[in-house]
Amino acid sequence: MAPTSESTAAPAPAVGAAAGARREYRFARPVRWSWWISGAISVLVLLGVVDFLVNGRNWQWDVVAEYLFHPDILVGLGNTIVLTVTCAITGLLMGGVVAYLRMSSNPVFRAIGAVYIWLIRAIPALVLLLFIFFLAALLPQIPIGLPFLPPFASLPTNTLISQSTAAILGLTLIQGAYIGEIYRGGILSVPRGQLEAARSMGMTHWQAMRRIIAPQSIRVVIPPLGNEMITLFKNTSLVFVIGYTELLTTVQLIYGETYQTIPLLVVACIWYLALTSIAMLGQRQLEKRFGKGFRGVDD
Amino acid sequence: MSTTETVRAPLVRARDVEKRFGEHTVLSGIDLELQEGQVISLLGPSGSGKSTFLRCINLLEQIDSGEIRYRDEVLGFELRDGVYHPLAEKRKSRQRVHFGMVFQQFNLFPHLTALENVCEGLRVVQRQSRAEAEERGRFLLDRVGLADKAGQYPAMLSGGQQQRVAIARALAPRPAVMLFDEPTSALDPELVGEVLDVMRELADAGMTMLIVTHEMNFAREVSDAVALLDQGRIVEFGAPEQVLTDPQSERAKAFVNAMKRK
Repeated sequence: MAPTSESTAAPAPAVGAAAGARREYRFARPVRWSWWISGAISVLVLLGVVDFLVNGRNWQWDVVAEYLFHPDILVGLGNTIVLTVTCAITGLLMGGVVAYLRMSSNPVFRAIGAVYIWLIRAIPALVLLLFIFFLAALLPQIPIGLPFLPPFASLPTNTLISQSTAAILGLTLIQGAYIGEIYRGGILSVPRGQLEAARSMGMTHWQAMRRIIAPQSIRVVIPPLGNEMITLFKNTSLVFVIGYTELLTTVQLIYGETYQTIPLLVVACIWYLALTSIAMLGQRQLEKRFGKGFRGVDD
Repeated sequence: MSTTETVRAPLVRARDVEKRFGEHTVLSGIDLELQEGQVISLLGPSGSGKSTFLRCINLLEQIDSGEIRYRDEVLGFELRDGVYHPLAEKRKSRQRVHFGMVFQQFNLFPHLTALENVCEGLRVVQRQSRAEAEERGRFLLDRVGLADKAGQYPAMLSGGQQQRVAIARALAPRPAVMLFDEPTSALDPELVGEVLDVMRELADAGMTMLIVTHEMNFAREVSDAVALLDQGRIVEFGAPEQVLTDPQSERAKAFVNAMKRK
């Protein structure tokens, strides 16, 4: 090991020494034993995990390879992506509605927004999906008209609520509540003076929102939104309870017949991992794009 | 009383302006006339209501009583059958264009460059083309001495530079009146001068200005008139020399002496 210190440094220069005689300062590098030890232990643990993954017999990597690009799996994967993208779009829109309700000057709107968020936070996603899917049991006909009065017309619930509409509706309602709060946080994060400056130059409320508040909120909103999108992507796996055949449902159907539970769950995980990575890359690009003016001088 | 009053109608005329925040009365009966080309400074201890008055003119606050007019136009309200009906936000936005506001905290848009900050109002409110807006933007940045900073984001500028960009931004839509709300109070002492220089040039060029400030010497030098506010009232109004060297009321004397001691 290298010597840990050299405290016997050069003698101090005389005060007011000639400008040319500059003293050299030498610093010792500290030896961080605990750093080396904890690092070594971590490497051993990681190697153990790799050993477990590679040599553990029951992973059945051959089965994983066999099913990774299996047509049924790819169809399920496609359904997962379609459901995620659809619900991402509807959820982002729903979030806008929720944020508008929550920040409205109308107290009735604010109350509706608050109760909605409260309910969505309280009800487990799984339960909400089942409620929507079995809505026909509660409300066989969807009435069109005013409350407490006989409806003008009504639609049979079962024709409206299929597996896919239930899935989209449920996930949209869930995402909308959380995304709405994210938007609200983003808007509140912009200092009040920004809105005043925009208004004082004659912008209308919406112009100020669109040109000044929104671009600044987006920067704050992207990290939690990215999180929310990835949560959504995995939440799509919940729709297996109502029989929508997305990736996880497909995997379950297959291992229900073949009993190759672990390798098929690994197949699903690999795909989730791949898609999550792509989503994270996209998020990083967005953060760069909207970070303008907020980073250092080398911007 | 000046006999020219009927000839030269004031650009801005405030009558009996009152403003309350809940139980607290911030302005109680402000009367003020601002002629075209005139520079008036509003002085007074903090909490005297001078910033609130400025914000009422710009409709960032709504007054509770009285009336403020820009030329013949009642600001913020429509007078129908002797009753003041608050204007819809859209029409208030249109009235705000008469005024250019400079804030204590600059309030530059951090996601836009200096040039984009100056052009934003022209592009969005006046709907000018990019080329047209940028030409005006560059001219104004040059006028405040920041032509070389056009592409910089506010975070890269010093406080004094940011405030000068903010002045250029407020000037962009050619407002009739410039309102300054303590424009140098948030600045480090060595940066105050560059902002005051820009304001002095504006005053010399004939801009109509209403300035809330604590800079006594500057107020004395550039103002045509000075108003001393205390507890929501104008306690003294007149030529700067007279108000600042020989105040009449006890309140004004106390304030001027306190400022001298600083």
